[in-house]
Amino acid sequence: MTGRPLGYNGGVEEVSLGSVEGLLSFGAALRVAAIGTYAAAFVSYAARLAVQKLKLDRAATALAALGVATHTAYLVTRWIAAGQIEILARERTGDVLSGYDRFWFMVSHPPYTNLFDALNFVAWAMMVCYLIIERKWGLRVVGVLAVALALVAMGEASLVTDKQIEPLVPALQSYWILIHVGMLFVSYSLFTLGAACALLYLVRTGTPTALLGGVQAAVAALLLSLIGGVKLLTQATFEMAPGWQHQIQSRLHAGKLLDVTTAVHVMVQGSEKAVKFLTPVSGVGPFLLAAVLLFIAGAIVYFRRREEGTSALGYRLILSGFAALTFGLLLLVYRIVNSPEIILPAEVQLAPGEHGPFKLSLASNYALGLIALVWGSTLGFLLTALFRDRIAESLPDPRKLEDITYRVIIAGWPLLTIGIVMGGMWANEAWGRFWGWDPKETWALITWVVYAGYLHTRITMGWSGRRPAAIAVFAFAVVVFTFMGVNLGLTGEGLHTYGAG
Amino acid sequence: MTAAAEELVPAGPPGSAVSEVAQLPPLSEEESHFLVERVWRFFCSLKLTLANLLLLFLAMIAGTFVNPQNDSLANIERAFAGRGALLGAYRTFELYDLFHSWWFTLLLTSLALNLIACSFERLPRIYYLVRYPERRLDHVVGLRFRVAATASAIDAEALGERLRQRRYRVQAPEEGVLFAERGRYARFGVWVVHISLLLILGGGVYGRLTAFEGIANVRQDGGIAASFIQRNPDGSMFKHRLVDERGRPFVVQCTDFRLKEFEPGRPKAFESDLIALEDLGNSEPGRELARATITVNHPLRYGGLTFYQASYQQLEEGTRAKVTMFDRATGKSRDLLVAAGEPIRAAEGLTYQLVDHNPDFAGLGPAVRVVRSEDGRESSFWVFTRDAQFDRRNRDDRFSFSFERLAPLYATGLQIARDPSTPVVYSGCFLLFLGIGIAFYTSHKRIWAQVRDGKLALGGASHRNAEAFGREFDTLCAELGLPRK
Repeated sequence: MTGRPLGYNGGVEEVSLGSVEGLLSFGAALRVAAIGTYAAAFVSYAARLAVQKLKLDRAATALAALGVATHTAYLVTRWIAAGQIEILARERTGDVLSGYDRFWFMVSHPPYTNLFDALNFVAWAMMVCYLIIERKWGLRVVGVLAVALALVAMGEASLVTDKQIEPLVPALQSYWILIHVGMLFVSYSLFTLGAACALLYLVRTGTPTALLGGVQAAVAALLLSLIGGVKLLTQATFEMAPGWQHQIQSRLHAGKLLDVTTAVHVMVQGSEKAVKFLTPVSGVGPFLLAAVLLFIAGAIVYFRRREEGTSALGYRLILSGFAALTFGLLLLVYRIVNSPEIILPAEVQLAPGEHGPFKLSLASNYALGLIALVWGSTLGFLLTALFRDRIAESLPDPRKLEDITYRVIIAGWPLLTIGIVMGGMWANEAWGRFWGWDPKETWALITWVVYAGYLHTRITMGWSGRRPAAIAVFAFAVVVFTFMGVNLGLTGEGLHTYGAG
Repeated sequence: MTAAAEELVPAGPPGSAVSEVAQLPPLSEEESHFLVERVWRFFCSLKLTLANLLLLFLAMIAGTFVNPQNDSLANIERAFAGRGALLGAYRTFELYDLFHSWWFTLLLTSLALNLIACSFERLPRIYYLVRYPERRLDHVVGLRFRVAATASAIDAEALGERLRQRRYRVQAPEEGVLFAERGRYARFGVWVVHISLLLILGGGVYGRLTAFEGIANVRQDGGIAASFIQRNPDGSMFKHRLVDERGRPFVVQCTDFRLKEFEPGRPKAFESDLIALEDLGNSEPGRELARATITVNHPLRYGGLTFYQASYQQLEEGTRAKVTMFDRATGKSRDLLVAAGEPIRAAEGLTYQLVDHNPDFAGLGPAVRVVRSEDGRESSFWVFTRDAQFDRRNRDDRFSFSFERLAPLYATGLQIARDPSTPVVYSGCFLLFLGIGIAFYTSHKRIWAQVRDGKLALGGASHRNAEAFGREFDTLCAELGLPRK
């Protein structure tokens, strides 16, 4: 190490910092453009479905493809910027990097290592898979759902405040992150598309509203129960992780400080582990519990009346559950926005390095995102149930829908399997155990078990039609929980927390 | 439901989607009353598979919500002190360690037996299907790709040649009858996947019986570990001696630990310099056996044990300077971790003391000031991080110094594990990749042909990805001048 400039004063580094900053702002503009294009694509896909005379097929596809191209460019800028930040952060702290090191750090930080990037990446993977499906089998109906889901994921990403790229923590500095995480995220997007096709199949084959509503309400109740955990079900208390705001040095503007919100961690008694601290949010629990109970009641009523096709009572029960959920969600947002400072109980020992003031915050809020997803899908059911005959008429041949559900799932399943196994191999190399029943690992295996069930009922037992389709729709709830729900803090903290989130 | 919608409800999945092996009749039709056979049938049943998967699904969901922090039994006993029934349930069902409880193990065992039984039952069926295919077109029913007898100039031999060019194995069981197939091994893909899952499960069991892991905290200034502590979920602890595969004891010395940060609180890397040394049973260290700098994703492997960088501890308040002292007389250098003011006795009557630190001395970077005392006479000089040779060049003295960094005194936290099951699990993993490759990306294709009285009839089937095979079949028909609807 001779005479190498360190710190912030080196002229050369000033220039490259500027280029990273430029790249990131260019990327942000590309992201906005991609969202805009997807929105236009969504309108076209929806319009061609609503008014069949409109010749919008090509326009819709072209818009979706343009959106994917912009989105791809965005991810590339993000990947390159992350690589440059990895290199700069090291050079600034005095590391001398060889050509190989520079290459490795350039690619070592893929754009899916924090929640913001992960949501954008999954939306992209889903759109790419959708376009392949459309090209191979021309199922434009699925487009409405695919683009809508991509928009939801990217919109949710916009809510995440912590968008800054930080150099990867030591545990993630491994080539395995490129393969393991990427494969799993692509498989999740394929399963999401599979669920969309299966849902359309159920609508198309004239599955009674009672059955659809029953499955929808059961899935909503399951997801809400998982989000609320034991406390919600037994004590009508909804708990979430408050955050503490702190400031970190901006990597790009020397001297500028950025606000970052991190979940509060406390130490487990008698051990050295830090876990997320959860605090009750007053008033929200009863509404969520009411929603869960009403959804369960709605599901039961619907299942019992499935022979009659539909049930006004079931619909009303789900509607009231939806109303309770809406109140709960609004109250939750209100409580978060007007959060007072949260005082930790005296016996709780704070994790080192964390300090108040603690508040509930919107940033990196998995609970809010998941409840909003349940809310949105319930609303989707309540609205489409009214127009289902018209929607069913405009859908393609059910055989095709079923076939594609199956094909999409058998495309995703090998990726899921290999992704999980490679995660085990990584864990074995980094921590000395192949499998540790960490919550994310366990939930990935739960997803795997569900799809293994789907494949066996379909391929080996020869089930067809609605039962496998219902499994495929139901499995979506599991996929969503694996992707985000594990990060709520209910299931303990594992090693898969999307960076600092 | 409208009549039109009802019509469109498919009668079943396309034939190609359902496993042909599963459709084969059982090898013996008779109902057996032998207990062994009934047990065998029970473990072969797919209903058991589905039940196993469903129970695993529920158990694993429960597993992530019950005792999520992995509290030990002792902690749970404290928390549930007044609630006997709940504590009883925790103890009976081993909920403090659900994924290793007797009933979860039972569930996995049931799945494994199911897998074993199904794999045994399947193999002869697959073999039968592959070894004795139906070779005559007029005996095959339900083909999706079929061309009825059409006038054609091509004879059986020329057709066989064409199919051989497409890398099919061609057989002619009788005059004018052709049977060609490709990718027979594809039939074994699913079987290989199941076997590999068994191998991974088996590796897991073997690991549970033989593997162990624990923690050792070793001081960074030459601290030595001869053993490590294993903590069990029930709260008990066990101390393991460090021994290699042949039972020879050894020790591990940590010569340095570096906590590198991008900025305070943002770790860049954790590194420990480790040396494995022979243990001679006395205070003298033995021969060096292995040496490595380990980081989080790069452990040291020696003697069947693996040393992972798992954690670290700060041992005292304040910081120490890491300096290297070079002795011109002997040509040897020594690494030292010294606190401010702590005397370094270099030789008789000669001491050095670090007295001052400057994070950026006149724009030259971090530096420490050293005071040299010899027989009551004192002098002082600066040593820089940037230039390790600076002091040696500039001062005419027997001992010269270089300064590396200022940091607290740490102990590195090593996770030490022995897991003889790794090769088994890894071979299971690679077999799984192979199986998935075969099962999901290859297919067994068959083509039947009949040439009689100048007329050619053709049929084809593929056990998966019928669409791609359909295109191949169409191309073949076009080449042969056969009409394709």
